[in-house]
Amino acid sequence: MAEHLIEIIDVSKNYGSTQALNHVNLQIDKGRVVGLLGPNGSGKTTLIKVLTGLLKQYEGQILINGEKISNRSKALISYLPDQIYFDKWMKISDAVSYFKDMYEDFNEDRFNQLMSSFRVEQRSLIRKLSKGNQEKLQLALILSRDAHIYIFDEPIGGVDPVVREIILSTIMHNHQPDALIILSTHQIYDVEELFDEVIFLKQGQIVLHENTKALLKSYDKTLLDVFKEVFRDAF
Amino acid sequence: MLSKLIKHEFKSSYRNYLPVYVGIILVSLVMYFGLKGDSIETALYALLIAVILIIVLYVLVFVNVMKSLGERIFGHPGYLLFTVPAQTKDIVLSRVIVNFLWIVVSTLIGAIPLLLFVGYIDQVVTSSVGGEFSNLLGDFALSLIGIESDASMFDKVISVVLRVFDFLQIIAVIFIAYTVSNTIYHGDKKKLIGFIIFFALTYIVSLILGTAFFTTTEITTQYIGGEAFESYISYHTTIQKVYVLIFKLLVCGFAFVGSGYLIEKKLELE
Repeated sequence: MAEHLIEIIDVSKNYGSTQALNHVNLQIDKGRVVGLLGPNGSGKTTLIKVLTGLLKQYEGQILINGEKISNRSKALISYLPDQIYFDKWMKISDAVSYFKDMYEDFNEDRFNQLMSSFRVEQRSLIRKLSKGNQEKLQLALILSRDAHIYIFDEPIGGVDPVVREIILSTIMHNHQPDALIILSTHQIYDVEELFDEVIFLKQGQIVLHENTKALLKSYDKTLLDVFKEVFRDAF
Repeated sequence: MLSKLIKHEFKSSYRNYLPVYVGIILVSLVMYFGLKGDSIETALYALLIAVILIIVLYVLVFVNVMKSLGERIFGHPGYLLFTVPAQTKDIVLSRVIVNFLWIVVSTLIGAIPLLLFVGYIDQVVTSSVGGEFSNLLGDFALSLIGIESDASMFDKVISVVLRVFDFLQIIAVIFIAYTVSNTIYHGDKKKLIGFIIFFALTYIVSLILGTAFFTTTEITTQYIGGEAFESYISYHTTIQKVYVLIFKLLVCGFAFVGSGYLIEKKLELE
């Protein structure tokens, strides 16, 4: 195992004249639950897409477990994007078959347990499920892998408080103990107890990367208040 | 991993083809057994139906190949595809293999109405004139897969290989067009740009293949009803077929390797 599970070295990314990431440097270790926090447009999704190999035109270097992004690094990462990615023709059984074939670490028993707990209605075609249930299905697939790194991009965006609690609770109770969890969100309330450390991303730059307890102690405020203070002039 | 990618690409594409294949076979059989009489009009109806079925089939193939190499790689399903631990060359190869097989199968299915039409004409001609005309149509059917009955074995083999590369070239040009429009081009009109690149590349390739280096053109005079008609006939000599084959090999190689390179180095999934 490399010293850091994820190492981001001086990474910048532009979309035309817009700078989405601006000289980002980060080291993140295994066994941590990391909150990637920032308002919309701060560069969270771009950073995640770079880590998962979906964006390849950037400056700088990314090392996953000491190696450049490759099919080996992708095998370590279980990634929940901020959108539904199933093909229109897919049934739930097709999605499971796909994950079983593509990922050696896919655990079908855990998938079945998660689907039972989510109470997703039994419809064969995924596109006939409600959007919320499609998101739950995607989450169940991602969490059913015994991955080294779990990356969740806005998993609680646009869901009601009950579903939000179910999703967060499921994420926190269904990952490998040594795994690294990165959870991106712009909804900061009620999440401070989840994170071992937080990263604040503002206009493509890391403005803060600290241990959550130490941060709250030094500010003597809730995470939401710290967030508001840091991002006061970002809107 | 390649075999798994191929398996799932087949699973995601067969629904688009099988119902149309069944439909074409059924309509062809109805046409064959339903047409009665030996008039020219009846023969023309049979030919019209055969041609319409073939056009419908090839439009479907074209649209499906475009979907497979366009939105199902660079759209939302790309999130699933490009996060699996597969090498880019396997992803490219799986799409090429599956689409190539669909084009081959579609060509075989498309030949059914044509062959049934030949069978129908054969019945008509045999009952009135004799069997000679149907032999000519048989030669015509063979020429559709690139074989001339009086050609040498080498010529026949290279003609069939050329037909294979015709299919691969379609996939290659669509692939590179959509890859360029989704990696190098950063605007909003990716589909349109992909389409324009596809037609531009197809036109350039056909222009090059139409030059005297690759194609021999002769003027022939045909007499129909006592009147002389001049027409141009273009064909490839055996050595020109070898040149065309090398050229198509280079086009396909450039397109597939180029697509793989762009996906590997320049992928920008939105």
